[in-house]
Amino acid sequence: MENELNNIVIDYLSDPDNTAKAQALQQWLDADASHPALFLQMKQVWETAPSLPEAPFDRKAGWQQLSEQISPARQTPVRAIHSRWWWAAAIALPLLGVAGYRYLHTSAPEWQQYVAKGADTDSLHLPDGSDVFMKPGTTLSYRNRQLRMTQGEAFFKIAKDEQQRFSIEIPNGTIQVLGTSFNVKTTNSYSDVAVWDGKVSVQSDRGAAVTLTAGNLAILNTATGEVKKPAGDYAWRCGWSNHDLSFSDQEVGLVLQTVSSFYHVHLQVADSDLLKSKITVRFNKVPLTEALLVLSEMLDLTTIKTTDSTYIFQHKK
Amino acid sequence: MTKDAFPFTGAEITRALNNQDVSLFRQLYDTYSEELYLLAYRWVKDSSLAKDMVHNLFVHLWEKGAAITITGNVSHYLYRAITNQAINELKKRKRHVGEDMLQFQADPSSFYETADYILLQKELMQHLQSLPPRCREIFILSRIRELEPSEIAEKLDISLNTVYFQLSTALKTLRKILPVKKSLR
Repeated sequence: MENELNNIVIDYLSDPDNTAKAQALQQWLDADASHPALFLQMKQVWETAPSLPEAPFDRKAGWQQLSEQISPARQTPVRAIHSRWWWAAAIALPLLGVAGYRYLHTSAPEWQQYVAKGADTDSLHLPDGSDVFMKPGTTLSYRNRQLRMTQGEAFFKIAKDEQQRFSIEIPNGTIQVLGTSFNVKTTNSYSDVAVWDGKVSVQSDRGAAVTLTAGNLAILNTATGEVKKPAGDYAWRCGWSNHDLSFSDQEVGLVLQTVSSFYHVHLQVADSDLLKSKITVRFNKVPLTEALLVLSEMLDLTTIKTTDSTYIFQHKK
Repeated sequence: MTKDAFPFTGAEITRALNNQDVSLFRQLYDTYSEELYLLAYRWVKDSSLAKDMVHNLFVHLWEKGAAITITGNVSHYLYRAITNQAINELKKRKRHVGEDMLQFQADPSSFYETADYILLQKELMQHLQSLPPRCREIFILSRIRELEPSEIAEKLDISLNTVYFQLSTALKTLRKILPVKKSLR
């Protein structure tokens, strides 16, 4: 049994994309009620470690050096930091499952139309350096730093340009940005805008306007032109193009709904009272099996698979 | 994971810095220096530079103590100060300043997530030192130097099973640093 733990878990953690190893892990997880929690803990340690510096911090030595230099009312020279070469930290989030990455080279005065293709996230790189990630079926048109969106949902990463604001026209409204990341969804009856970071202003053509910062959401009613800014943190609306679903104090019902839609499955709870409970959880590029694992641990329930794509969370026996 | 809350307020530390109170200054250093080192490292990915940055921050606090005012949370202030320093150091070297750094500065609510993560790393580092030397060495080769288990086995001339055993021992020991899960109900 010990050997199984050693090999199966470490094997999977070293090579999580390997389906055979994932299956072996799943079997081990199912083998005992204590295994899922143990796995999640081991995984957390495994994932926290790589970002550690190799050199531990020597507080005693640090204080020694500091105390030698400080004394009341004496000017202390700041230690010169020698320039040294080092490798750049990888900052950008890699994108998975992106169908195509097209470049619009022209900045002609004509409106360029674009329709998102394929079954996965499609993306567009605009001449000004901005990026747009679109859900299938999204339609938009573009001219210089102006965009029009009539249908669908897209996540924007707008390149900063102090000279020229980037603006997006939606049915009966306009979104103005300088440089920032946010999500826009447009349907027949409403549009909504959720900000990941930066500052965005949403104006309805009827005059109402709101300013949004990170986590804020604005809902524009197409018919009435009314703009609402509900309370709460809606940053989770922005994560789909990065495979990063981040929920901060959200209702379980909402979390299940979003996770269901993202992974194309049906998730249900046997105890509907649980739907209103609030949780904070993040699924950052995790496969469905892990997402289910995390959820079942957080809710203290067990997961039963009833059909190919339906999972029910219910009390452990 | 229990952490003794730092018992001094921003106002008390401001007063201590204004007066160059060595004893409180020492307590400040003892409490925060390691976290700040980890945060600095997170931003600049250079442990020597990170160490220098922490040193310089505390020298600055001592030197400019008379002019410093800390309102609110002391750790907020220190985390932001070291992050500003990191941004400056990177710009000086014409390195890319990551969005995560700018996000940290711009968004007060991201502080908690980062602080929690840094504290977890701090616990991990301390517990790492308490692992048996061989176990620690193998864990570091795997997670920090990013070697595959097979590469580690070859490098140290030991069996693959031994590598797995040591990694698994390390994880089972280190997971004790994790906070106890709160029940939803």
